[in-house]
Amino acid sequence: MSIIRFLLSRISKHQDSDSEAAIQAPYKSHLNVFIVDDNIAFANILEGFITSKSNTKLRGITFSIKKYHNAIECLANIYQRPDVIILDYFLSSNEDETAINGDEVFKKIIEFNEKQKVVMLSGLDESNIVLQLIQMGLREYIIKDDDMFDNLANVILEIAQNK
Amino acid sequence: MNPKTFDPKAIKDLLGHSNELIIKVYEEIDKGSWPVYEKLIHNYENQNWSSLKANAHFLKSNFRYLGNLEMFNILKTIENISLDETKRVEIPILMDKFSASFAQIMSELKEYLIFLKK
Repeated sequence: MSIIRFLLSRISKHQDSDSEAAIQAPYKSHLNVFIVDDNIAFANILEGFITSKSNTKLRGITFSIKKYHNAIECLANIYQRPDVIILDYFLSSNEDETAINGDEVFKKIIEFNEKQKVVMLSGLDESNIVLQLIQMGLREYIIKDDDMFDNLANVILEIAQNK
Repeated sequence: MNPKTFDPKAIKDLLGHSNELIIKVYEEIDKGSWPVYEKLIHNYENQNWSSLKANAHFLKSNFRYLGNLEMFNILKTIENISLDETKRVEIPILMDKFSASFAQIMSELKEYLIFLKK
């Protein structure tokens, strides 16, 4: 199976999720979420989307969200073991010389807790990186395209259902 | 108030119609875009291509959620070709187009923020 088909099959799996049933009886009604993105505006958009009352897929779930704008802040807090970490791949877009990117952050996170659920977001659709990270235990890799928010909602819903 | 250079629908579709949240996002876009724009220009003039790519990537998200797809696509192209020596020849035209509109869009965003806060 090509990497593209592999990824598409993962995406379609989310689109098939029975979100209505999940809304009625999520396994977890509250999720602790970390958002890690160096773009503060985008981190706020993600937070707003997840907690928005107009987001019907995630209705019924409450969230505690912590936002970090660099890897160090995130890594200093992973002892809190959030239910999911939403991690941007590209954390050095503001040219911070000390910045490390999402793949390196992910490796450090799973060194601490190999069961930590991490969802990586990126516009970088380089299949070799995706495959490598998924093999290492990355929960999901979501490409920043038109379906990104829908896919993200589906993944969060699955995590709430403990799938 | 009808913005001409960006589309608030892009953000309202995601966040609902919470003015407070929309203002928060727009303020961060306003605050965060200028310094990165200045870096973009500096890196272009100094041919720091990998830094230019990083700056274009950052600004691309902001323009996507401002609903200005033309600027989003310009930045996406700059990001995609900045490390490709054979395609880099297109960058000057793209930078000119981007620079020609950037200040106007940011100015309109500021006006729209004032309108939202009333």
